[in-house]
Amino acid sequence: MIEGLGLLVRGLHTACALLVFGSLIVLHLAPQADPRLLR
Amino acid sequence: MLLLSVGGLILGFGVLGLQVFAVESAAPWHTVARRLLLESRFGAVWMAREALTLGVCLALVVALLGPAGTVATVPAMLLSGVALAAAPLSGHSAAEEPAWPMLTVHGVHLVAAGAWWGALPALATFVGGTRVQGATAVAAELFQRFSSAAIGLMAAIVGSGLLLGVTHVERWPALLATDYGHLLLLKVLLLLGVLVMAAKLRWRLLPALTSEYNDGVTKDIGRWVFAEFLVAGVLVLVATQLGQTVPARHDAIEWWAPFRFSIDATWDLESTALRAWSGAALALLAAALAGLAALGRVRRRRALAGATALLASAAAVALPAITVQAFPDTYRKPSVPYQTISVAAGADLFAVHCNGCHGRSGHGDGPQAKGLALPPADLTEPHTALHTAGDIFWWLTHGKPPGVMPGLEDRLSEDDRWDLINFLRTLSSGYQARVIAERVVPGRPWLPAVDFSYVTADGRAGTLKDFRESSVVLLVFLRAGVAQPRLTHLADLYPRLRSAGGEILAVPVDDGAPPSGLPFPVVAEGATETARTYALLRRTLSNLDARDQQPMPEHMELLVDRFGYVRARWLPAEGEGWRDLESLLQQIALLVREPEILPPPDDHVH
Repeated sequence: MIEGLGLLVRGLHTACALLVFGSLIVLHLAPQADPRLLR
Repeated sequence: MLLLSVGGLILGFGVLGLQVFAVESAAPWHTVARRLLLESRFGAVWMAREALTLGVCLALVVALLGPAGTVATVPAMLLSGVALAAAPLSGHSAAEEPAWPMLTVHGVHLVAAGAWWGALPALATFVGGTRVQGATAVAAELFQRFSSAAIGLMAAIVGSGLLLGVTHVERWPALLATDYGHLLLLKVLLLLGVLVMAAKLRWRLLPALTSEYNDGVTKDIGRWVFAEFLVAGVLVLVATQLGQTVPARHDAIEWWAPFRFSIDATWDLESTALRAWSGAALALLAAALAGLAALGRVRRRRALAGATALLASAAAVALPAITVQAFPDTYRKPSVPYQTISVAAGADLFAVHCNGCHGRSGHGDGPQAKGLALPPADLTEPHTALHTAGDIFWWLTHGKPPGVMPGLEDRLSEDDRWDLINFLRTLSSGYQARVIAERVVPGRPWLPAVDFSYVTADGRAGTLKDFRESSVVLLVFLRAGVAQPRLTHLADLYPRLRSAGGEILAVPVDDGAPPSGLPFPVVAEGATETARTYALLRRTLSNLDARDQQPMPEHMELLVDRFGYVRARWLPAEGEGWRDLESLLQQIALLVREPEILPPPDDHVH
């Protein structure tokens, strides 16, 4: 149970870092930047 | 993005909390947390990453409030990239020696994964959400750009992942027999699934998007990208768990199959080469057929059936030829280092527990051998790759089938059994070492120089290993008094020998007072075991001494190369040899010039 929770927290932490970086990359690739992504 | 960054910042505290509660300590949690933050590498890296994430949040707020345009988000992108690349600093890669190559590779892996996986939801939102007429072209351009970049990113992810996998797993059986290996295989399997989805997007849906008839394609693409994101999300979870698991190379392998495949072990057996090459040829044909099917050059269903049949025949031809019996301990690593103190202890244990059947000199001709149905093994034969050190450990522990050999688990500790194995390894290589002569055979190291610790007569401590990669060592074994003139000559030669890249280490072979006043070190403590061990390397082509009647030569000299292998030997009883000191210097010069050919012998046990 605790181990599963630990994995989830660590996984989400990694996922957040990856998603922020990836979304910023898309913002730079997009011909017209979508301001929705910034929020 | 701002929400994600703030989420990441908060989850960072969750990760810190998990780490605090993982520390077993009687101290209150806030003390543990303070010490963790201020005194550990984890704490330093955690603080740096949180600071960077906070920086990302602020940079995003500035970009939101400031004028429109993507340039404003560059600082946030750079900061989040650095935060990602910094993550491995507190992981397994930081424990490697040297750390920076693996840290770089791991950093590239994460940044590439971020640029690819992290981008998928934004991409799905952009492309999938395009419903306005005319916006499809914009979506198509973004998708095209991302798709091109994704090929490079995937190559970086797979390449860096392979390097990380090879480093942390080290031996392929660990893939099948450790938790780390299982997780890594699961990760690879998920990646294959993701690649299939990516291929559909790239080669099916992207051309449809750019064609005239693209009704509903953007929605389809959005769905597929999101599905790819979800599968890869599981992959991220598996990768997170992998970061918390002991790397396979540091974990014990308990092998579960009664067999293993080894080309090394079976290559010299009759017909192995023929069958292995035939199998490889059949497998290549299968791959070619599958390739043709993929390209649409032949009928797909028939071609795939043919390829499967070819692959099955390849396995049927090659695998039985390279199959070797295996045990749970087959891949166990020795827990006792290969040193003379262990070999000497193993020799004593051999005399007590093994002499009866295997005989005093290991030929399998002990007094109790006559009554046995199967003759005991001749332990002086070369140790082939057919049996690993772990196999021998298993036999010593559990024995062989009833009536063949008893197990010694009750009588010998684990360390004792490794001592015995270290002795057997030296005994066998001692018989093969009879071909070693005064002249170095260039480029052919094979005989390990057993390491030893010593204290010299003037109190200096060291090991033979200390000379690795710096000097060629002349090991001089001598009986006190007998070799005095030789020592005088070597003392005169010593300055020249050192400037040529050599070093001398003298080891007395008896209990007499060690010679004094010499410019090179003379071993005082540790000499007995070292002399006993190296006496096993005394056999020559003209004097095999198969019955161990003259175990300790009065004077023997060995040249150990810079990488830990015995390369040449001189026994004064066998000829003039290195009495000519110039000839000795020539051999040293040859070894000084030689590059590393094999890995250090201690890592390479059969």
